[in-house]
Amino acid sequence: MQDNNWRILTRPLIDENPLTLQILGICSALAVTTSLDTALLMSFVVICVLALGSGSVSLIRNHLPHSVRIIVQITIIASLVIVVDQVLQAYAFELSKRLSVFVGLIITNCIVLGRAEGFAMHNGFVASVLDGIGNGLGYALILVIVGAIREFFGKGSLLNLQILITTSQGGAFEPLHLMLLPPSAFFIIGGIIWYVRRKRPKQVEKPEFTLRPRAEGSE
Amino acid sequence: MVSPFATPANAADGYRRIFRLRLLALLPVSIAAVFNTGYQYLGAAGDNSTLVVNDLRARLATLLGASFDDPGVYDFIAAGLAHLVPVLLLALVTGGFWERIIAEQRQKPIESGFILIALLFTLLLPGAVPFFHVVYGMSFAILLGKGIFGGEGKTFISPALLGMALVQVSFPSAVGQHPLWEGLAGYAGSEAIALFDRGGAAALTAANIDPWSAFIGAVAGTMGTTSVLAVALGAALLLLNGVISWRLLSAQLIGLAVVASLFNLFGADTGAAMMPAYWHLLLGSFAFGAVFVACDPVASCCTNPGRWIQGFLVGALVVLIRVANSTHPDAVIPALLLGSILAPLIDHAVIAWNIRGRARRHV
Repeated sequence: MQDNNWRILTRPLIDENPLTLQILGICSALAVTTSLDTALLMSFVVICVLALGSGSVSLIRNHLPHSVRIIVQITIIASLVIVVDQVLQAYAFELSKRLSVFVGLIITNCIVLGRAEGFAMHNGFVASVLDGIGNGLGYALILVIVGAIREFFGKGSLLNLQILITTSQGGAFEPLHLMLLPPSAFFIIGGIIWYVRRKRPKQVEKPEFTLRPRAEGSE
Repeated sequence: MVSPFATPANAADGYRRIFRLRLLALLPVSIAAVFNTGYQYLGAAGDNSTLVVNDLRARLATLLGASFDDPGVYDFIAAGLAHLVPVLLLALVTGGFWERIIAEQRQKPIESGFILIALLFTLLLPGAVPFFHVVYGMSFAILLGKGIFGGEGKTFISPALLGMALVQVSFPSAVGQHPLWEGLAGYAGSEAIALFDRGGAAALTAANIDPWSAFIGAVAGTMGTTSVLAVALGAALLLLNGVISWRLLSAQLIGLAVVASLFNLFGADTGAAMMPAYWHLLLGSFAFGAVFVACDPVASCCTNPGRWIQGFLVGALVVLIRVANSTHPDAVIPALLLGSILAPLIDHAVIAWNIRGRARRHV
């Protein structure tokens, strides 16, 4: 049982990572990763919502009528997100202003609903909470990597601590403006997915079609 | 060596033929690039005492025998070579390096296309481009533009275009918004296209730019794109040999003319809005991009109606972005990028429309 729980917690980190294997929650990963601190805060918030949401859904799973289960799940998740948003506004106002609407949009983050519907509806409380934390950590792992790369190459700093001195401050490092634009997150996440699938070929999807071999004599 | 004009016997021969013809078509452009870059560097400045002599390019020009006082034709060529050759070599080395790694990973022979990509990319860049930008753009061109899609013949946008676009987006202060020749010590005036975009006719008169000098390319701009004459020579060679589509090319000119004329009729009298359409063709990198980038044999539309649509779209977008968005004085790179990205969709729509029409006729 102990082993099983450990696997539930660690499986979503790489083997079943919600971002790199299931390609869920990409929108927020593009939006909040321009700097490392927002990425960290967003990760923390998502881990909280995922753990509490999956846990609550798991507790009431046997009393839920099948036809209204999605509505109930969304209601639970939305309430949690509102609470978290209010807490952030009370204690970390500056950062929550930079995360702006994306905290509220956790409600529509596919990972949260996906874990509630796909895992918590069929598993016990402890397993569901661990699964929520695990998936949140998997999401956080990618977010932190992307956020660190984008902030480092886009501003030459990490956690607002200047590491490379940029040309505008008289140094030699020329910041890449591209890194502060959303497309760079696509490139970086794409690169991470490529690397993970190269190391774990099991994750590679089957090709949708194959090219017909060249006819004799055409080459 | 097989004559580049011979009819190809098979697909691989056909590919090599297109490759040779495109290189050949870039020859007049490269010659014009060398001459004009040197001319802009030494001649148009007038007072050459401001030139930075410890600059690598200036030293190289001196080494080649260029004299900075009272420069003549030879000095222009030497200074031009000192600008073009280092950038081209760097692009070739970077491209070759990545090609080799890709070829080793895929266990396939090295593809020669990177030579063409490096030359196109070099000609799109300004003479004073920092060397790091060359390495950066060329790496992305080969890896993102070509390598990950499976190599030659499988790209969906021209790799040189992608490299240039990423350089513009990544270093906006150096390349995108501010003219390339402005603010760099020793370089003459603004790019002609920026003057045109900001000041319209008055600015061009003040800078002594007439249609003829813009046509032969004796104005400040990126290295290979100023001379419409040289581009036209290359375009004639490619058109006569059927490498590029006349439909795609003329559609771009029509798009340019239509939107420029609409602005002339209804636009406000600011910047380039009131300028006649031919100025849009003569200045900036539109002519070069239209012939060598938009008509990329792999990355453009392959149905005839699709070619008309893509061409019109690119021509129209160039004028629209030039006039309406002051942060992109040239606007050719974003317009070409959008045209290339939409090309498969346009083709798909044309084919679906054709299938529907035929099905309706036969029911």
